[in-house]
Amino acid sequence: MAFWTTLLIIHALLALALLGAITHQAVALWWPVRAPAGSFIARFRAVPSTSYVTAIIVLYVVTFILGAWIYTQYRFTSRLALEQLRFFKTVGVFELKEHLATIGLILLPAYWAYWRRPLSQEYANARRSVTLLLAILVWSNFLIGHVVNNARGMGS
Amino acid sequence: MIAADKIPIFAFAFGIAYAVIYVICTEVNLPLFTYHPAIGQIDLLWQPPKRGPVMYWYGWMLTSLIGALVFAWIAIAVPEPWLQRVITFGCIGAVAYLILYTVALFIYDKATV
Repeated sequence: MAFWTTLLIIHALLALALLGAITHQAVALWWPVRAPAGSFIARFRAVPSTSYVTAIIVLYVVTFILGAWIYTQYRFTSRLALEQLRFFKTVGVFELKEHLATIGLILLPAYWAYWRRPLSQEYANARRSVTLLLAILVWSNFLIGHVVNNARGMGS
Repeated sequence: MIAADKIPIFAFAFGIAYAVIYVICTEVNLPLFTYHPAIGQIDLLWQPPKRGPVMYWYGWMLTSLIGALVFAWIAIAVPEPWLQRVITFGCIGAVAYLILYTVALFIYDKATV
């Protein structure tokens, strides 16, 4: 069980890094600074969006693979416990997570294509939309994972 | 090798096709393989549970991956107006499916026996 708990912690840490990166990028893209950055919020918005692309793709793929691996253990341990405890909404929302994670994964080729350098002005709107959608998916998955882990986490 | 200007078309077509095929795979249950996590066994195509629960998600993803790759390769070969028509039709179909499915669920939920 220590092995799976360690994997889950690594998965959560990677998800946290991904969440930070995609949030930085989405905010910088949708709410860019017009004047020199002074405050914390302004500096948060002033990051160069392009530099996050590779990190986000790598983090998403690695986090996804780890999550898919841990899922095998969850399926016949934590989930059975959740069902016995009649936590059906928690189980249901985790079912949603598997689909959301898949949608995020298949969005990555388009995300990468629209962020290729030199950035094409033709794809500016598509770039913004895809980045926002990916950010929403990552946030949703992070929150769902957190809720499920609080309900009946690995090793509990 | 894909020409540089075809890459966004390939990626976009891949994403849409994958989503559509994935929904079909989950609804009709079309996994390319079935995984039994409790015994660590993998079977080809759909199989019923053996000992413990069964997982089809990985199989659905593989089925959708193959289908989406085929569609994306076709998409970069056909003229763009055709592709746009197919994608528009697919998007309308997806929205119609969502509405019909929601209505059906609502009726099922409210219907008296």
